Amino acid sequence: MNALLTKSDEDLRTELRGFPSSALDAVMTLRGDFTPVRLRAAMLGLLQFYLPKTNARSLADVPDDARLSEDLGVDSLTLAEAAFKFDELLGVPIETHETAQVKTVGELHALLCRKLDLPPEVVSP
Amino acid sequence: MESVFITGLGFVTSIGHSRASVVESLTEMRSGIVPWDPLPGTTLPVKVAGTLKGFDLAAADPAGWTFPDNVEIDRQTVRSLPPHGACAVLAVHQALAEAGLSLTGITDGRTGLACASGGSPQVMFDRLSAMARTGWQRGHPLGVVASVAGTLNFNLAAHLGIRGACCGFVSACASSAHALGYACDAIRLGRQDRMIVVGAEDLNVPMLLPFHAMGALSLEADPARASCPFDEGRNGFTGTGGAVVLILESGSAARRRGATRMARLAGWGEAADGFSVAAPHPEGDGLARAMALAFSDAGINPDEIDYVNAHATSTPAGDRAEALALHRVFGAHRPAISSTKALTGHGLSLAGAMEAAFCVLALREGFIPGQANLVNVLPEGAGLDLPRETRDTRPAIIASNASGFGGANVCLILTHA
Repeated sequence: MNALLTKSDEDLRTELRGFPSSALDAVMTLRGDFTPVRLRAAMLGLLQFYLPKTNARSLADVPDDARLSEDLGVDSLTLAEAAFKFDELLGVPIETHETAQVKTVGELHALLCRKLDLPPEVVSP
Repeated sequence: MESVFITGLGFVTSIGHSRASVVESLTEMRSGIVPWDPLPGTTLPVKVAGTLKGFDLAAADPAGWTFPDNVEIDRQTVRSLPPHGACAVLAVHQALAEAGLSLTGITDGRTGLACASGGSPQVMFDRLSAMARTGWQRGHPLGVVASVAGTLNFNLAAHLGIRGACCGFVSACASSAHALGYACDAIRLGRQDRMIVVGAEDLNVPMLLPFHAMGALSLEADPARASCPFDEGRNGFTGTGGAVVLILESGSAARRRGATRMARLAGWGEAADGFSVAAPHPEGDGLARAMALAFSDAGINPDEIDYVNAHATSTPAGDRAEALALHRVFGAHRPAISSTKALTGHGLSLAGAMEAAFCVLALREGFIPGQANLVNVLPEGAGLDLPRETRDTRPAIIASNASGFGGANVCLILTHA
């Protein structure tokens, strides 16, 4: 069973303390509807937290081809930080060499889908 | 040889988060030690601590930390910091502002950084536990730099853009006094014009409770009896955390930019006991020699000292040893002596810098901190001048003591600018 599905609301509130409430909402929604679309929303909700202040922008309508580094300011260390959060929260084991190959929002989503055995649907707006 | 002056101070302490609030607490002998219950529902043996009011740094992840309303610190800065590192960032900006320094003014290679903390057992425990859960396959990428001893200098050097000296000091409770001493020498030798000296420490269960296993902590529930240096009834120290920053500057550098010289760091001395891994020499031999070396380095006689900010942590062995060392060094001379740990708690690596900064305030504002929580003076303290109340007297020359595990002892001499 996916690790997220075993977590209570209280567990998630504790794990996401300090994250925007929209991220918590998206993760709770994913827990009840474990689909690629919900996963993408939760991924972006969490990723929003990791954006550098100097490059803060809403990720609500970010396209799949948005580049994590050049367009969003997410450097490799920040991506590794976010990936470990996904690892702990979703129970998705993501290795460092795997994140090193991820360049875009769509590639990150595809990686998570693959890890969670979800069909790689095209969900970019 | 260049003279060394203090031109800025920054405080995040149990008795205040600004120079003004710290002065008020010291002069009014207002304690920062309060009931402490970091793990509700458990029965921790320790009941009180010198907490940071308005801060909640208990969460393992910096995302969960909260700060006083007037404090802003962004995620990019705190993500690689331990709790005491966040305090250090706030204190360093306070100190730079007081010194009239901008970030662009400290990146020319002539400004160095000397830091002291014990690292963060809490962050290390959390990050190692998380990595162990993955079978040691994966972990938080910033776990190392946020937890090991050295975390302060790693983070602050990057945050401030320091291009001069950058080093950490680890001698337990003498750490930040050592940092001040070596920073003083870096300026006197002409290696740096300016040194930012930081002492900081976590206050949380993984940092403090291991000292309970050594029998070093007071288990008193009454804050007024938990930390009572030089008192016959003392039974261990009370923990605190936070950060204090001092900006040291050469006389010529301070003069060039018209900086206010708050006090002078006139000299320092260090000497080890060569006796025990944890206990002090029973007669305070190393501390007495550190004081004598400091007087010599500063070019003063012991009878010129007006006030000693003692290391005394409220442990039976430590306070006794320091009392004997003070008798040996001062003889018939009776400087006022107090340990401000009665008000703050003991900040471990933070202590030396915190207390040196208190001495700067005493010189600038004209007071001698009283010895709080003193009811019955320990027998070895008979004959020492331990004022029960803060004195409205301006000291001219102050000695500030610090002692750490392994018998490491440091004495700093501070005078008017």
